[in-house]
Amino acid sequence: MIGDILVAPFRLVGLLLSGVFKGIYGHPWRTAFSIGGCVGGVLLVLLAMTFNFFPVVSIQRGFRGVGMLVQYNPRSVAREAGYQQIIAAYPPVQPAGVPAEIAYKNIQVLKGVDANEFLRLMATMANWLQPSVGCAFCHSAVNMAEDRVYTKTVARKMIEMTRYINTNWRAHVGAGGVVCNTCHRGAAVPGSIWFMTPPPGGRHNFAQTQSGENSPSTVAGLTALPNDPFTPFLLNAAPIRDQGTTALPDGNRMSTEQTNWTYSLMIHFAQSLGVSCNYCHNTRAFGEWDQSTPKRLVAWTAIEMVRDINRGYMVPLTDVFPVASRGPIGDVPKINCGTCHAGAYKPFYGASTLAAYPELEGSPDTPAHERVSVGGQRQAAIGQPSPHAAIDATPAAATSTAAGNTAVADTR
Amino acid sequence: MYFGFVVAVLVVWLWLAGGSLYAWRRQGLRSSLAVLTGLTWTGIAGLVLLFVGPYWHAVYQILGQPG
Amino acid sequence: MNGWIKGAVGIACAGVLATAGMVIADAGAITVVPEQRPGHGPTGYVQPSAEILARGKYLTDMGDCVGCHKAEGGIPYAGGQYMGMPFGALSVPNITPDVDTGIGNWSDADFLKLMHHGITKGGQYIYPAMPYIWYATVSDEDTLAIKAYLFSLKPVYAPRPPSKIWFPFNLRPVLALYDAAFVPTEKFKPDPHLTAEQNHGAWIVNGLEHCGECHNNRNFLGNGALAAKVEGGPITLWYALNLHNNKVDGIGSWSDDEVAQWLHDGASEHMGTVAGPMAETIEYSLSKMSPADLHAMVAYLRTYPAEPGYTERAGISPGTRAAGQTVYLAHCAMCHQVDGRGVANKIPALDGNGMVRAYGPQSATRVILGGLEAHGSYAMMPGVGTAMTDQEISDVTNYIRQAWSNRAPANATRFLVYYLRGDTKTLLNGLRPDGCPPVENDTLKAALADESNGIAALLQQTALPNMLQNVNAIIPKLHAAAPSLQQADIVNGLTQAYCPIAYADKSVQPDKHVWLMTHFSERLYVQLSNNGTY
Repeated sequence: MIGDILVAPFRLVGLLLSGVFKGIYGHPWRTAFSIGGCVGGVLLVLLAMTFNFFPVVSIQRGFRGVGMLVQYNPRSVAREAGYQQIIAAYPPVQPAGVPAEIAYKNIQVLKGVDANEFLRLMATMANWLQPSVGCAFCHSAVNMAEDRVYTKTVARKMIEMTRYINTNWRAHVGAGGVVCNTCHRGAAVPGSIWFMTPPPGGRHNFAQTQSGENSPSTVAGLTALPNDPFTPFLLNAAPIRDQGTTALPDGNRMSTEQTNWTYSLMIHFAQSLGVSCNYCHNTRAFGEWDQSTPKRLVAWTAIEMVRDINRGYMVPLTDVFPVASRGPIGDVPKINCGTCHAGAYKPFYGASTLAAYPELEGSPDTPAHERVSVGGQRQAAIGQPSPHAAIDATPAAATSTAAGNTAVADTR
Repeated sequence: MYFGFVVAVLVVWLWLAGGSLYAWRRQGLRSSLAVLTGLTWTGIAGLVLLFVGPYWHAVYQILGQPG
Repeated sequence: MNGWIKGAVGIACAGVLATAGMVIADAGAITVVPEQRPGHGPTGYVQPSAEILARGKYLTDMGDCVGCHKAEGGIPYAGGQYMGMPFGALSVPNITPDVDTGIGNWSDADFLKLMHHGITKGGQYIYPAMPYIWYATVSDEDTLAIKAYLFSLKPVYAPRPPSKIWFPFNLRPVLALYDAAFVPTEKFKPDPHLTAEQNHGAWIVNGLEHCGECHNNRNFLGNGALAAKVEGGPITLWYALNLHNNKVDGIGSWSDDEVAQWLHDGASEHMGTVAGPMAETIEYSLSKMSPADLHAMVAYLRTYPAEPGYTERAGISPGTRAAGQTVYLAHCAMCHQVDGRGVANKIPALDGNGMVRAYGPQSATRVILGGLEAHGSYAMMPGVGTAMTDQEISDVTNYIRQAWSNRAPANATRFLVYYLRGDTKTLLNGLRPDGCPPVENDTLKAALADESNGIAALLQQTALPNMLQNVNAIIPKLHAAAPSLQQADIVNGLTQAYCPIAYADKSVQPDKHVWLMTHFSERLYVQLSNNGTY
């Protein structure tokens, strides 16, 4: 009797289920239809949820009538706008009259900056980087001058990098330039960084390739394209190439793999900037420079710039970062488009506080850094051949993005 | 959370109540009785939840937290 | 049902009640502004001898009466605060000798009945939040010395606010069952197997100091055994440490002298700094005790069997370890160092830290959430948890509990962090419901009120860009104005004073005001501990 009472709820569930399905079991086609209908309905709802619903805003980016429109969804833009709030600059301070290296010990990079202005920058950096930890994020709480904490070494290099970008890469960053907060936005680690993706190795499934195809990742927009478009283009100087424009292989030696890689990078561009292809390209002919928008040149400069600073400033820091902060194959965190852009066509929609911090502007005589041998560095770091050896560029190819390949017609 | 508990119990209870009605109409009083037993149990559980729910802080502090 | 079962059920019910009553949360205490003004003492009061008064004061401090019977910002012993409990809030009565609202018209017998049996003059059973089950073993003579001291205080008119305890937990007569089961009827007797020093320690630990009130793990019946077992357990949403003599989570790793010194200062080289309710216990009680008594307590604690709270083993998923390590490197490693060793006498080590190695992760989590004030030569810690998600905090808590030589169970959960976050509202994480607290230290308050030294004006002008200059200017002025102030007093006190200024700074984003305040605190600490040099 007790057992009956306890199992009563289970019996009831069975009873209900059998009642529900009783009508269906008797009719085979109904069974198929009802199950298929349920599954289809769920899929339909899931699909509908990925749509951008009206109203959306269209911005014209080319001649009228040629479809050069960029669509923005005001609801998602409003969400992203919260992340594009610039931190206002601190009010100016009275100069102390002495440079920082005289007022304080162990000043290596910010030499010549007024001592009070130096403190203002330090205070600002605390807010830009990791406000909850504050000065202690880089400085030893025991002695501010000593270099015990690795983040201080990194910060020095990053200040040099900021100056270098503001001096040598105005072609990309424009008059607004960059400051620490352009990428960091109040976080120790910027929102978008990248590491080399190890190849799938022996455990990859049958469709995956050594180049990371068919391993869907958000980097490539969950497509079948290679999941690491950064190593070839933003660290190495592999040519960004597409298929030929002629039916027969008329001098164009580019492979499908390279096309895939290129498209993967382009998806990253679009995602990082919150734009579609026609922000830079005329979709009539993607490759034609004379039909593209001027933005394409800015974007091309960006590739050169990011590669330059990844090689010149991030890779040399590899040994400074603790092992746990490095990537799966021991490489340093690196920069891509999203690091600064964070989903906007311009970081902070073009707003800048660089003018309030002249010490970050740099000067034309900023010493040029030494370029490192990237392939050699990485092989030393991971002790095995590069996963991308097949497309690793020769030194000559470093400048070949613009060089004569008829297929892409780089005629800028 | 409390609200969620109460709703969950209510849903189960209504479900069983529906089942009871169904069983009574289809298979007579005998099956209905078994279901009614289930109703009683879930009803008791629901009442307990209803009254213990507001004390969930105490229950968590005394029984739930580590140590 | 026979009478025996009835009794057992009754005791069980009373135990649940009592457990609830003792899960007191001081951090979540509801602060009220109590009405407190001079009152009337009993007529015909005769001052007892200075010897009795001195003895009474020492015993009163040992009993930590003021730890509870003082509202924040109120007069000591006048009560008036609420102690938060899961079942409502218990108000704390006034124990100054005021005849209207205090204990001014209590006879010696009334006082003894309360201290030894938990029954007030009016015949009401009191909640075991008052540790009368520990006081019950103290002799009548010592108890009356405490009464003599309390009666020598200035009477304060402070009516007791009504307690807000929910039905059915407000049925006080049920507590008689609890008392019958747990309140000892015999006074303290020395154990012949122990030395004189250990027996003296036992008298303190199991008597007035009532260590077991927090450090005994509470079973479902509240407080099953009276004799202190001090194996540690959750208390007031913190975790009281295991005091057994083992090296896993007890006091076995540290020398007698260091433990005694820690009990006195709340900070020592290997044991780190105190946090949570123990900080008050040290401030009000242990720091006022003689070194001999502190050593006796340690000697007695060493006599317990060295049972660890858990078996040490590696038990953390690789994913949690990696996630926790990432958080650790981003938020913690700069001060506590990648190897968890901290910085000697400035930043406590996390490797081997008692609070980190405790069986329960509550204390470590709460410090991450709420920060920690400066103690002795140790720095303040900002409430970094405010800038972290529940998942990040639980990951990093589990990571530090399993990193280096620590092998505590990785039992912090996201829900626990969520739950503790709701209860952790400190100055250093900027979540206090009443905003900025007043400056506690009277010497510092006087120095700030004196306009001639210019400290308050400098403080008023301090913002992030000129923080270092102003801190460097304030420190020598403060040293001149109030030479008696210790480093930790300056750091904690000036942080309280700077709090309203930081929150009024318009150049900082609203959610960053708290960090402006902690930057100031940090700057102050570094400049003080390095004598202002760079």
